Amino acid sequence: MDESGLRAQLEQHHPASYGWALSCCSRHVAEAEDVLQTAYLKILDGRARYDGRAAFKTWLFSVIRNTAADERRRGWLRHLRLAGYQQERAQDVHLPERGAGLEQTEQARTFREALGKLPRRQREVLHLVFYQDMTVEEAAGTMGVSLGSARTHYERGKARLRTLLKHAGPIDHD
Amino acid sequence: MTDQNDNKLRQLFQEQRRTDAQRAPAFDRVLRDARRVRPVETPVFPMVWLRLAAAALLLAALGVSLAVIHARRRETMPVTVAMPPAEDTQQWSALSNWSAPTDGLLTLSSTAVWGSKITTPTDTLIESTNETGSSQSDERGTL
Repeated sequence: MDESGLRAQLEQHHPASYGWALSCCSRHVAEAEDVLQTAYLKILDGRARYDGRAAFKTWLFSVIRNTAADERRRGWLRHLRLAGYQQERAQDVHLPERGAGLEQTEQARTFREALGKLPRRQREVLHLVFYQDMTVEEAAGTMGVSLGSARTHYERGKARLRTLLKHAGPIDHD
Repeated sequence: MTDQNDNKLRQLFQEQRRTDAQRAPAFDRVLRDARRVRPVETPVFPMVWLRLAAAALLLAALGVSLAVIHARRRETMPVTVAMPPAEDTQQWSALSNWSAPTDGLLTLSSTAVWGSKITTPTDTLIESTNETGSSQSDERGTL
């Protein structure tokens, strides 16, 4: 696939990619944008190559997920190097951005908080299935886990999310 | 019931999706920013040799700790000595206590033998036989 073809594909999936990047970055807006930029560059520069074995979206989401994981590792190392400074900076910069995402309704806020309490894998598989309309199999491919493992995360994630939402109260369950 | 719950979850996720889509930065802007402020790629471990060194160091540390654990285990391991059967030990102690009737002769090597009367543990036996022999001959003589 040439660069213009890749670019067209990226543009087509851009809104979904942004949502996935947000999910991978625990809904940090700035971090998600950084991850998206890095992932796009990786793809357009040829550092990440699409070999056609999976659907383009599945592959793209894997690149975004891996990029987010790299960023997390770098962040962790930075945190080790600049422990005190980083902490202050994180409080100053990141927290207001976190809040700016989905505070429109109480229900959305409650949902976002409940989702944030889930383990990463459970959150990811639920996002891919319910938000991105993927099958559990496609989600497993994106996450790089076996289908059985993805199913387990999916079932446990749903059960835990329901429990969390019930405890939170305001969301009505029909 | 489960389907209904799934629908509710799907509804919540779709609502989030709509909100995110409204807030998503334009594709061209993301790409432009990416090309302009190209992030400096600082790998977690910058050089290959550094990665290899780190891996070797980890392996060495692992090996040393395993060796230490193994050595400690060996130190604390109870030493078990197989004891011989009780019958054998009794026989051995009897053997070590046993003394031959001629053991007394062995002590004579450094003493002056000539012109002295040598007594052995068996002399008493000889004496007692002599006594009984003479008494018997006396009895014969009287007869």
